Amino acid sequence: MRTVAVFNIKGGVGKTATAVNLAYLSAAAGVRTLLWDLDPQGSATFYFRVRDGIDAKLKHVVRGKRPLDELIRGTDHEGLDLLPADFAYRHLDLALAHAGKPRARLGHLLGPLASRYDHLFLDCAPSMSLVSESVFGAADALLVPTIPTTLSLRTLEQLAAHLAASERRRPKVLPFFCMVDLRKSMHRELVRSEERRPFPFLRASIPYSSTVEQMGIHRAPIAIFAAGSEADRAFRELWLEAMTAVGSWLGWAAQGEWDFGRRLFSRPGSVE
Amino acid sequence: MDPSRAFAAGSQTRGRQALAALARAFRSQSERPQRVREAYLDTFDWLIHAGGATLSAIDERGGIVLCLRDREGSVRHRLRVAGAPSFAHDLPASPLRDALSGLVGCRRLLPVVRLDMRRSGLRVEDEQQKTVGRVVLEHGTAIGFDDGAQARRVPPTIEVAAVRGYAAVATRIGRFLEHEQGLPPVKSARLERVLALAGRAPGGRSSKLRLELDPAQPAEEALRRVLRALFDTMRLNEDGLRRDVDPEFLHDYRVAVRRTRSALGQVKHVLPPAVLGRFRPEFDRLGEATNVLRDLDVHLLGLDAVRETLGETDRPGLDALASWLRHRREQERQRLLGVLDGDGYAALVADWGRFLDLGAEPHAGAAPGHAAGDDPTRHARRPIREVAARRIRRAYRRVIAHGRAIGDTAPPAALHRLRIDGKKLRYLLELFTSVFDREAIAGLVKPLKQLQDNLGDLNDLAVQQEALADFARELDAQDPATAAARRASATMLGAIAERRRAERERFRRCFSEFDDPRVAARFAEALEGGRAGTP
Repeated sequence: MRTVAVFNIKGGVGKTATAVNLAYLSAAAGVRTLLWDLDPQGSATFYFRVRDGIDAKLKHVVRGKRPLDELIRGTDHEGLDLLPADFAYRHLDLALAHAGKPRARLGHLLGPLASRYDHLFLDCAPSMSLVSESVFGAADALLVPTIPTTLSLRTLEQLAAHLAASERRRPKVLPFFCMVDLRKSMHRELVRSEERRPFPFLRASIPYSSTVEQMGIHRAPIAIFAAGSEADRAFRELWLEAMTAVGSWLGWAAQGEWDFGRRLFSRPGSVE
Repeated sequence: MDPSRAFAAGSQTRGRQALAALARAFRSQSERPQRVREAYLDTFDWLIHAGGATLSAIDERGGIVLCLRDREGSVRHRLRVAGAPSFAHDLPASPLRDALSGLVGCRRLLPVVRLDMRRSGLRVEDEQQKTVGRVVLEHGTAIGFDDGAQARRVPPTIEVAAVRGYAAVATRIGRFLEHEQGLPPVKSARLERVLALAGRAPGGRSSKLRLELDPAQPAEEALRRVLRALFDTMRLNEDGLRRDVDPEFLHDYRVAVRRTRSALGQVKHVLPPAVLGRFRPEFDRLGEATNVLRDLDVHLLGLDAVRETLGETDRPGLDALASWLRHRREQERQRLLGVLDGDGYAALVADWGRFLDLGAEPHAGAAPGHAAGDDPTRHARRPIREVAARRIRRAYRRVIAHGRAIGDTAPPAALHRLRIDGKKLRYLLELFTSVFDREAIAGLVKPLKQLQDNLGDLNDLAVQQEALADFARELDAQDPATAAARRASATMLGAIAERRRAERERFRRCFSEFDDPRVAARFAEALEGGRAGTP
């Protein structure tokens, strides 16, 4: 199972849109995919029309007394399941701390799911906390949506400094530009400039687009209601690049075996 | 999608009525009717089915989607490909390929049944318009591939698929269909239902000889019946062997040839010398002609076990080895086809068939001038039970004597000879089971089989070792392009040597379990006592 955490210390940068669309594309390509909505706001859960709230006490979940397996919900899309958000996740830090070994806890809880799913996406809440430490311990890669602004780049530097100071296992960090508006000069400059980049950026970027905002109206991934749009194409490119970077077979299959790869992209993925 | 349950709709009209009633009782959206074409694939001996899974190829615009499900219908892996694969190794590297290789190794995938279905259905929703259950009415036709390609009607069925985390909804829908609509639930899984329609049932294909001999029958007649059954088996497997459907056809063909050779060589003083002189060398040659091909098959089958022991970096090297082996295998197969298409083989088939049907020509019988004790066919008229028991006792004593002589430092050749001795014993037991007490013979075959498996594994490992060494010799030691393949060969050779050592250590235990006074007593008893009702 490849685990990709969509993470940023900053909020409102497009984490949920990224997690939802990428998870959908993985499932549409035929791999068993799980999305865990770790954000107490429950936006990803809302996009999939799943009622948020898990019928279990948070401490029981964190201590492994209620297997995650029982809390998973199927989405409307073949091969894509969701672990819904719960408002109690705002106390996830405390629960992790009480359960002991907080940094390894998440990875431990996910263990039993490894044989059930090929890809796991974590939609993380903004902030730097014990929860994010635990996410760093469990993820193969951090996908970091970054708006081309000075403040955003600064939080990326903070993340780099934090990871560098840590002696623990570090996930691969994959920043990419998000909500890019080329009408703004600062966006143009920062996207072109190679300065202030603690990690190499992915080539794909997501433009600022009203299509992304419409996900809240349609309550569905973009590929469902706006297949072929600019935003849809951008997320597909991002998905492919991210899959290649985390070493998923899908990434290189799509590139190496062209026919096969093209087929993955030929249709937005049928909904059965 | 989670496991589903099905209900018999009886007719399409009835099915549509039930769906309409469902739509009134549950918040739902109807889905566009669609046509789904789907073929189920499996190996000829149902390895996927035996592994608790189904593999189907679903026709989609611009390609097909392969779907590996478990028996309850949950999708384990999906993969979009350009065309249906013949082998697991035809697929791009993917979890589905890995899972499928684990089930079928390098067996060929054959279409089992093809479905052409019309589906219409409903999505049951909650108040957020989230899908919480799916209901599909389907009907259509099924064509079984062993069934003369005759299309059969698949009766309309309503399937209820639960969405994960919403099992209660599916239960409510099921209850509604069964109790409110009076539709009977269907117990068996979808594939089984369809196969039953197409006149097929999953199950093994056995190379076991099913032959009932009369213990009192004269040995010559009985032996010809046995040889006839073996010849039929050979001929039955010839087609699959020629078309290269699966390595198992060659294997069964070879077993039949080997049993024939065993019967000709072991059962002495029954067939006239002229017959033996004509056919024994021919069958020996035929057996030899298949040796290399079988070794290559063994090696390819063994690669899957080796794959487990390799790290990611050695996989490309293994793939290089596999394609080299497949190339050699193809050459070897062409050579064998040359033998099978030759005049010599045609003459053997014709003459052997005539002998089996009509018996030896009169002049081929006892040569004049033999003393009574020297008559080369002196056992021909004796009851088969007596003749067989005598041969089996001898073969048993030979295995014991040779096995005891094998010490810890004995060369591999000695173990190989013991394996051949064991095979001869096993073939005799199997060929003549029906003239003894079946259960008693089965009790003898069991410890022998354990010993033979051990010796067989030792032999297979030696074969793999040799082929690997051949492969490694052909690789240019200086060429960086072959570095991965060389490294993989070295790793594999190490792993094989390790397994060989382990099997060699196990040999002592396997043999002593066979060389046991209790087994000896069972032998004596089984060969003494005939079948019930026989004097």
